[in-house]
Amino acid sequence: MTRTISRREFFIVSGTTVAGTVLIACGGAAPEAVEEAPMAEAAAPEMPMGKYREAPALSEMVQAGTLPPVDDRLPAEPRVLEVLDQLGRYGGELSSVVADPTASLFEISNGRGANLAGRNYGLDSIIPLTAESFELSADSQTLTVNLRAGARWSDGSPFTTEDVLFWYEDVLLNEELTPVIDSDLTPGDTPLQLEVLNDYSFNLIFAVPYPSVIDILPSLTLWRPKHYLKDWHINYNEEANAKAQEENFDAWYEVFEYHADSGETQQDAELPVLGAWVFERQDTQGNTSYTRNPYFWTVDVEGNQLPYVDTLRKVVVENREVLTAKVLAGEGTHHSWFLSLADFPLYKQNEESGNYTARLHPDLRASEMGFAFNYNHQDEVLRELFNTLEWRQALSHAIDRNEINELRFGGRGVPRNPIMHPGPSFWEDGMDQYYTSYDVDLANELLDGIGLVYDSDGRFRLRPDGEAMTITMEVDAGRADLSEVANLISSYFAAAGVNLKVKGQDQQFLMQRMRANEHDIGVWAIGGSSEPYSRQHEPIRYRPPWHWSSTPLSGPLWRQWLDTDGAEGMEPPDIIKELWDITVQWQAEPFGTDRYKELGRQMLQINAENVWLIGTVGLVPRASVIRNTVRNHPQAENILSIEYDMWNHYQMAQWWIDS
Amino acid sequence: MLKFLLSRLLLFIPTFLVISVVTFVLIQLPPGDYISAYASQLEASGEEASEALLAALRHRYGLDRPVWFQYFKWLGGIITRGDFGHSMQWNRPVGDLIWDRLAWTVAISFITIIVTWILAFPIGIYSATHQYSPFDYIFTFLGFLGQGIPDFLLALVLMWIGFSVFGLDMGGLFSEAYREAPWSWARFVDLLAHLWPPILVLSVSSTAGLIRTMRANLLDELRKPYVATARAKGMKEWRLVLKYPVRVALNPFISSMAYVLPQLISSATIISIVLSLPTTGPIQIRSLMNQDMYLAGSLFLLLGSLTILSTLLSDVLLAVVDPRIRLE
Repeated sequence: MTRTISRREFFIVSGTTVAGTVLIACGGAAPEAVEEAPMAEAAAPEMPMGKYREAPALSEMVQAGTLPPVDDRLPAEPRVLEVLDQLGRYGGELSSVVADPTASLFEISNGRGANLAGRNYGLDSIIPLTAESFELSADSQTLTVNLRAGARWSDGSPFTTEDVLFWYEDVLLNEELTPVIDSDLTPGDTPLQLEVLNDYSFNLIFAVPYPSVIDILPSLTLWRPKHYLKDWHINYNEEANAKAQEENFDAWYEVFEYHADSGETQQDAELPVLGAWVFERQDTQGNTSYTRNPYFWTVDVEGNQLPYVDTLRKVVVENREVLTAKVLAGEGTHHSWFLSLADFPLYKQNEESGNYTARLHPDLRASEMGFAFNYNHQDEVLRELFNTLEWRQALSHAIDRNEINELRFGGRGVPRNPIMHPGPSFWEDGMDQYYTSYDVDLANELLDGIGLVYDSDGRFRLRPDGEAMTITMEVDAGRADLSEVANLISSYFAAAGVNLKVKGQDQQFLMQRMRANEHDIGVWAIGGSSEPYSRQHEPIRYRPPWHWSSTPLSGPLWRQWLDTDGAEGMEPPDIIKELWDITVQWQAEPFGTDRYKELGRQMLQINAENVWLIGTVGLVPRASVIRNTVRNHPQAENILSIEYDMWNHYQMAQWWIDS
Repeated sequence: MLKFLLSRLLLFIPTFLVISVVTFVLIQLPPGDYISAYASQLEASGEEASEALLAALRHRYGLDRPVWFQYFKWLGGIITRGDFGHSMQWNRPVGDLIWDRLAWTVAISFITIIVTWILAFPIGIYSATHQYSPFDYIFTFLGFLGQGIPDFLLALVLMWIGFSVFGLDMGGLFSEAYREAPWSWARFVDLLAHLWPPILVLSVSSTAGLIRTMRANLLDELRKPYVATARAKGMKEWRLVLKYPVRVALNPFISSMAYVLPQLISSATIISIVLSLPTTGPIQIRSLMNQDMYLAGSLFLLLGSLTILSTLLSDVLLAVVDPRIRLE
């Protein structure tokens, strides 16, 4: 059985909702209409005076005099967040389980981020989040950002452009702290410039027109809490190095980073943040808890300060079997990142006893396993062979994608080549189906056609120079799923007379070999292939080396040639040069224009026709397990994908527990 | 005795240094370093790990310095300040991470040894004194079974039975409610409820081994002339067995401490991962996989030292129990 995903299920990012949006609009495609729940009255204890209401624990602190009243803690115009389904009640805990203590657990970290912008529930626009509004100038060279006047850090200090200036001058432009500035922030190979207008407004100025900056806003935080961190910074404290020594660090920038870390490995509980929950503590196993931020600058439509839920908790176990056992036993409120599709029937069976619901959500991964022959192979004969279109067409036809789908993914995926996901405005049906039919006879015919003859035993084909041909597919040995598919492919290739050996390799070693251009085939899970990802980062799956250049799947020397304007590397064929130009222009083009669509279509078309990257099965759904008492969470029809940062746009601040 | 102790303790210092060098060098041997492991995480989160960035990070963490420099910096910190360095993966001082886990590892290992003794001692004696009896055959059969079953498999099976039959959540040492609670009687009971599966799994194979050793040794002793003499003089059988041959046969039990402890620590690594225990095992594997070298190095150094100390302890105990053994 194959499941196709209709265009309607995908939402495109429209960069048009930009300036001045205070309310989060529930777009037409939003999962569910907002419903006034009768229980909303019970939302908070009586607060006779004042405009806003708060959690009971905070009210007690206010009455005890240890915290200012809620009206004083919120900005004059707090962000008003519409809830996904029903207004909530305060209390409870959101928790999830992770099988690696320092790995990113999106179930928890997604609740804590406070980036400049985010996406709405319907995923159809990019909206301001921590910023009150932003606007890109007509020439696309100046982005004006307005912060929320009166918003505060979690320790009660005002959040102003001082903190933005501190980030820009003392963190971004400091070579010790930022040795290499992310390419997102250096359009035209020049670091962006900051111009502070007043306490709450600033401009980012780019050297070249940079319309796609809107697409990267959801991943930006352009501030650091200056009042807290400056004591560890050499520009503000001459004794910073001595301070570092005192805390057993070698240099000021090490101790600065230690205190500035607000991610999964945060250790400093005093660090002020802007998100809905504040780091509380982490034990030596990595179990971590976060407690509500009393200064969080967001309320619901009735004026209840968010978040509804008191605490977030990350529970660490040491392996996936224990994690599965805990999920089945009903521990944790929501899971997805560490779940496995193969265990989905198990999750379903235990729904009742575990008091949760297991769902399958659309995910956008183009292919669970894909590979590219090394088009810059050091062996000239193989290089020429791999660059022959018929070779790639033949071997794409040789793969039985339906069988892989049945064996590995319970028939839930789509047999296809890794050409994006259906849905973007420049997508055309069938783009992912070039040369994907399982046809061994055709494969053999194509290989015969390019003169690959069999050896004397008649088992395998010889190389064009008459020598025995063995191609090695090196796979990350830590990824059993990849090796399994690789072994299937090896048997399919054998039917076409191509001798493919699969070899498990330590990931680090494999990456080194790929960087050194020593591999025959680059194999990886083909994620990062969606439209939002390609815009927010770069179209890594649609041009050499068909991945990040730090782990090139194929053609690292072409990429080097393109990056250095021909000074280094290997000159690519014309079609690659053309593809490169198209991707560069597509990136620079404002989202959604006719030219954007045309360039996007060409980018996909060239990749589809040339099958540089051969896929297996993609668009495999993602499993989630959510406890039945949780409210305002995504439903089965909602996208849950790393391409959209998992749970991020479902705003955990408005989730609540119905006990 | 004092002289012996002193010389053994002095010998500890060079052994400690050799362990530290060997671990540090071994950790550096595989390709890549912490930064290359970090690079794959960066890519997964959508950031390009460019060569320039990686080089800068290597410089930041001092990984571009020669290995001997890194080694002396690390060892210097340990000797002068008791500072084991920083775990790059955890962004925490290594000292913060290991002491709790080391305590659990030692506690679990010692409880396991005690349980092993309690089980193996009477069974071994019974099997030897009732050689070829039905119970001897049953114990022998169970003993071979215990040696034969891989312990991680037993742990997985126990975990599944615990979940599916008793509805128990077997991972970890505490249930959700007590994980962060202060110590209390209820928490202690909760700990016991979670502690028996790992102890059982860990003691099964060493118990089986010790039963066999005890049986063989005791059988040798029982055939010796002094036993016949004592019997001829009318000594009561049980008193005789316990007072003389068993005492002699005890030696392997005590010397077992020297090899059982390292064995336990290494098999506890796998069991701890399977059962999600807060011992050094899981963090040890993970630090090696990520090449978080100060954490990995410190762990191996401390576990190595523990092994040396336990060998010393078992030597001293042997001398105390068996007057025939001279330490000089």
